[in-house]
Amino acid sequence: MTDAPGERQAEAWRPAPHRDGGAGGFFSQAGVRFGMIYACLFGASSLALAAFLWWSTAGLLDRQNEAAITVDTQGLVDRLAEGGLPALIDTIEQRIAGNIDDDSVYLLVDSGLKRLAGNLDRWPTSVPADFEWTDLRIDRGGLKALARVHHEELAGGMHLLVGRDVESRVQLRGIVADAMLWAAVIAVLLGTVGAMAVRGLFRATLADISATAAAVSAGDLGRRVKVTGHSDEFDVLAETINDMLDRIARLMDGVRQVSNAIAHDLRTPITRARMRLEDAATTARSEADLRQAIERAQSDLDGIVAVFQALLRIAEIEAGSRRSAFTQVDVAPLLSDLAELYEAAAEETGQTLAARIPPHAMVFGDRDMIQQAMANLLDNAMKFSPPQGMIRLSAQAVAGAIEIVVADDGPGIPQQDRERATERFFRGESARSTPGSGLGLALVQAVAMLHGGVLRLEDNAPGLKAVLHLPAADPAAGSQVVE
Amino acid sequence: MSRQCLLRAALLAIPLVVPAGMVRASGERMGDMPRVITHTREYCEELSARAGQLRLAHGRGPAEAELLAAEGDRLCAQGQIRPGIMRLRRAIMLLRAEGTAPR
Repeated sequence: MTDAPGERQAEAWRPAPHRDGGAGGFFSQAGVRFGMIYACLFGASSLALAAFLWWSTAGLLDRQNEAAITVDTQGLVDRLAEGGLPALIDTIEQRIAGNIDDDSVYLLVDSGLKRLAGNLDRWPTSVPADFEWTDLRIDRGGLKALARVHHEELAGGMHLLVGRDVESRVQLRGIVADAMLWAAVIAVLLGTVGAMAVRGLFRATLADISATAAAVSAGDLGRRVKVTGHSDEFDVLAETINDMLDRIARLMDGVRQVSNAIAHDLRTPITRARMRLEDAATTARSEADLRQAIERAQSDLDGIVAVFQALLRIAEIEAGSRRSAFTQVDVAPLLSDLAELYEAAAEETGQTLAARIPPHAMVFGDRDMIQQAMANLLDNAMKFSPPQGMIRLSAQAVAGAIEIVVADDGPGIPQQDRERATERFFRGESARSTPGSGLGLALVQAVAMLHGGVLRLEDNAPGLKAVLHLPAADPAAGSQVVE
Repeated sequence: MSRQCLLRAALLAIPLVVPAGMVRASGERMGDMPRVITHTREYCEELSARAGQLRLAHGRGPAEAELLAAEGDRLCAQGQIRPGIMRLRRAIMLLRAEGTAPR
């Protein structure tokens, strides 16, 4: 027993069971991937922001502190060079005495690391003798403190330590670090929520598309993707898919219609040919009768072959394979030749063909196909125009295009039939009594579409006006066309 | 189940991780560290003597310097070493400024 179509459609957009099973399957879902990309971008942005904040706060304080220590050290070195050791010791004592913030650290020792001056009682044992910068733990009135110190080796093997108590800054840095850590936790949570939201949005958006695709594949060709009306990318996608489905539906209708038409329209001539042959086989009294029957059957079969050739030709045109052979074509001489040819034929039936063709009309296309399309239109016009009727052939340039018009004063095509008149095998009421296969306008329509043009069928009051609108090869060239 | 476990572990780790930012290396014992020797009564007296020398060299300073020096001496005598040192330092700075100022 099969599931109901609705259930199948609802299930269709969900990930396949084998994909949803393991961790690899979970991460292979596009929604999860988009969510993770969002989370990664969010995380990277947060990290960059945190790094900048650190650099501009804690980092700035450190850099300012080191700059002050460096200047202080250089001043003491200069003092030693100017006044010798007593001057240096006196300067150190003065600086300590004037250190209102009580954050300076000074220590001058001799080559044996014996204290000469400063506010530290001894050389630190926890650091090597050749360091330049270090963080030094000191005992400040019974409290642990951290000092950033710079070491300078002086003449005579003396060593000078100059530093600043940075305990308060370390605490500030700790507060900043803790704040950033919490911010990171919040960023991770927000990133996770955002990623889940992105994933949910993605899944919700694709759900309708998947359900529609599943419904169509199940045979419901009328199902369409919902357009939300937000005019966003998803709406564009939905409209494109709907257009595609409309096109598929039209093509399938066309195939069905053509199949029916072939079966219906070709059955008559084939049956007729068969009956002729059967009748000849049973009733022919002479070789001449037999030959005549065979020739008639052959004529019927030639008509069928012609219909199939026309069908194949239309299919070939619609496939677009001839587009690679497009070139610049001046349709003006082509139309002049056709006008000359059909004028003679029209005269035989008392009809008149009036042509107004410009000196040049350049289009980009296939000369043979355009010629065949125009021949079909002229054939139709002559076929449906009454004796003494007037057929008009004209061409003109309009806004970057060439418009070729074939107008007759025959019965025309009723408004309600005009849209279907270009379908294969369509024959209106007025055309039932005239010979033809119903493929002429279908071929013209196919040629127009292949060239990126349009075939319009209009009322000529009376008669039919067929307008073939083809893009000009060069808009500038098109504008030069003069009637 | 594995996702729930991961989430629970992450949440439990937060209180462990966050205080880590505040933790400082504190393995070193106080006795091993160099000691700041300017937080003593002796240094108070040294600063007081330095202020006296400045007064001798440049004459009596501004009233504020005198006041700060006296207050520093009094605080040091009362055992409040750090506030006393701070006031004496400020007094010395004022006296120095007075000594270097053009007369």
